[in-house]
Amino acid sequence: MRPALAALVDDDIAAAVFEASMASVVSLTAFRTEGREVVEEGVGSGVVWDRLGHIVSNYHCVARLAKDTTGQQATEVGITGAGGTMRYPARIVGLDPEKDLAVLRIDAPAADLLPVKVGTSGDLRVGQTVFAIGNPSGLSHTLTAGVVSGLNRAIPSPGGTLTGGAIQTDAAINSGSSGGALLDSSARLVGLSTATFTRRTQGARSSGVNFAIGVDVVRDRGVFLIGATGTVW
Amino acid sequence: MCICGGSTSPTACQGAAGDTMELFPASFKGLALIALMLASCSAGGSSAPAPMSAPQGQPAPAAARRALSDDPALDIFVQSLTHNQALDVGDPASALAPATTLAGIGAPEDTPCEAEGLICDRRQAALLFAAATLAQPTAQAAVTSLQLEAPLTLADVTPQVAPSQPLSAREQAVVALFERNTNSVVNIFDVTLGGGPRQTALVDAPEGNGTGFILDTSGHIVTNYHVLQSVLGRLPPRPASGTRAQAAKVALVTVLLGPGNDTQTFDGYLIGMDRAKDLCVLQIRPPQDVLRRLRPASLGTSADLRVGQAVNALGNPFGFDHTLTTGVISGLGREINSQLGGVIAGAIQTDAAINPGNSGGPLLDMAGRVIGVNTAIFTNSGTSAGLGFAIGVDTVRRVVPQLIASGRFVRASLGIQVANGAVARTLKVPRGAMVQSVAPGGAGERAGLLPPRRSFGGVLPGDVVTAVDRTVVAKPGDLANALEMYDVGDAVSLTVLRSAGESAQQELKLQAKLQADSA
Repeated sequence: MRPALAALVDDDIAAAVFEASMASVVSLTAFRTEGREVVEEGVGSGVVWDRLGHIVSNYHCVARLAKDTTGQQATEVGITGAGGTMRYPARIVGLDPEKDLAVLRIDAPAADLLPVKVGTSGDLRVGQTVFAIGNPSGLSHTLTAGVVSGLNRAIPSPGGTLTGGAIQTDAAINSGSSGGALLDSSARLVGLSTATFTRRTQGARSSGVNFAIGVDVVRDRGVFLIGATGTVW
Repeated sequence: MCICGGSTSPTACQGAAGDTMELFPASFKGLALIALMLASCSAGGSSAPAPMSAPQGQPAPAAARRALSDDPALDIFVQSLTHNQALDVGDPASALAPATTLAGIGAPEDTPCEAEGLICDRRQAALLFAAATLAQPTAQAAVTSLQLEAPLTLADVTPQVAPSQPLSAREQAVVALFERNTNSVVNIFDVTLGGGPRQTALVDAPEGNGTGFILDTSGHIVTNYHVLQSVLGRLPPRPASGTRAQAAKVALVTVLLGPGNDTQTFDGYLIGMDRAKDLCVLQIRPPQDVLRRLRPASLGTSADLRVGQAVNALGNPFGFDHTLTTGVISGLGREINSQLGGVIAGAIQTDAAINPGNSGGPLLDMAGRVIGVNTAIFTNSGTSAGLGFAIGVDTVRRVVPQLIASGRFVRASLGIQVANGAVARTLKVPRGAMVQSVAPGGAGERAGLLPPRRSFGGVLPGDVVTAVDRTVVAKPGDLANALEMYDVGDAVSLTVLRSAGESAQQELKLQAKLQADSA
């Protein structure tokens, strides 16, 4: 547990949000297998969506897996519980590059899956406190805090277009955090941490100008992606 | 998705039917499906299935059929299934999951559609099963897949929205602070650079896009000089007697007048500038009705700030307008080495994220008062690393009235140049402000200040000023800061350490009469 708190945050709220939500945030690890060698290619985050094993994350976290034709790419979801971290291979259920969303599925026992509490993003207000839980640089379950800095921002998507309705926050989001949860002070998911604004020459280091896909979008598109492949029925 | 529970409005359902259409790819018999969904929505609540007497899981076949045929939507569904010859819906002996699901649709006639879960969810499940069935080459495969999974409804994968608790008092304070002050913050664009104010930022904003705040109801705007450096650097110094009418147009200023996107852009005219202090005052001249709607910021003070105090920055980083970032005061009394060459003392250090585009914007305390003007960041990535610097508002309070009155800031000066920290360290001067050069005929020369000079042993350092009257001068920037408290013509007593050769020093008191000096 590595909370990094901003000054304007009530300590007890931050701790309560973290305790309520950390189990719903998972790690994503992308691998490439070449013969005998297994190379770890990247780390991201995801959010447990339901007890069926659906995990919501960013498209760009699984873009390699999505485009892989050789079968060499794999993605593992790590769920950290009391007994340590259990790892499950993930398969893609649905992708939405325009919204930078991906839905994965793992076969984990329902008892180990603690779905995130879902909120709404349409009624967010600039200035309210938000918390990001993710795995920046592989530091599992890092909590950062900040405020909603702006609403309805347009950011570039992996699909090449501008995607609107993004939440802007100064809660630090770094590489590895994307796909993680952005929560309000009631520990409800209000967004999916997605990007930080940086100069092109630098790595994806948080500039304090960070973006999350609103949960209203995640809910609509996520459910659509789950249903579209008919895996449920 | 059209969840009938609670919604019997055909409009709502039609919209959702469009969505639902997307759910199932074109391989389906699309039209039939639309009919299915629309019918189900409009039928919601109005045609409840016939009562079922058998316990769940053991449907009486006749009853099941009756239930199905009473609902026109399900009638279609039944027809589809039987068309595939894959399933005898009414046969309880088959004990297939889909039969159970279908039977579950039966419910007392007066059960409203809105009743939690029961009727509509199951109907929905049946309809979706039908759709899945249509997609499969044989219904048997669909049945198999259903058998392996527990009967599921859309509700299982659509999370309920959890209710929120009210925001904490601190959160509400920040939300209110933003709402009360966002209209005082303007977007400033250098008019001589190509392009113009953009709605969204796709790429890094070039210099020339910055922030300012409204100072008063006359339309005066405060910002940093360096935001408009490209155009200001080319202007001739404004003559002291220059009139307002001759003010040059230097910027485009976008003002947020009301909630939502109620913005208007006006020409910004240069009223005054001070390069050394990196400050600049513009004026916009909108029509009266807009002038009346301007919301000036209120200025606080910076002398009584405390490290650890919560602060908020408002600005346009990377072109994302009216961005709020929060943090604390990380340090006080800092010196900004302005990119224009000057040293600005008394600066506030903060970890509130400040990025290119934030320059010229206000730093607010928790009461919403401007305590600083965000000016610089210390970073090797070009973006915020948590080390931001703002010119203290007390400096702004001293400089801005002169900029408005006469177009420039005339500072009380000694007519000397002070060595910066690096040079002083080379000459082994650990404290105070070392005189590097003395302007001929200036106040410093008349007071008797000595610059570095040759001696037998090499070079003697210049006089080191350690106090102005009672104000201690510990760092080079402290001298200029101290002199800001005085007016032209004031007499001051300087405490000076003079080198007398061979590390000997004597302390002198020199009297100076401050002269006028402007950058």
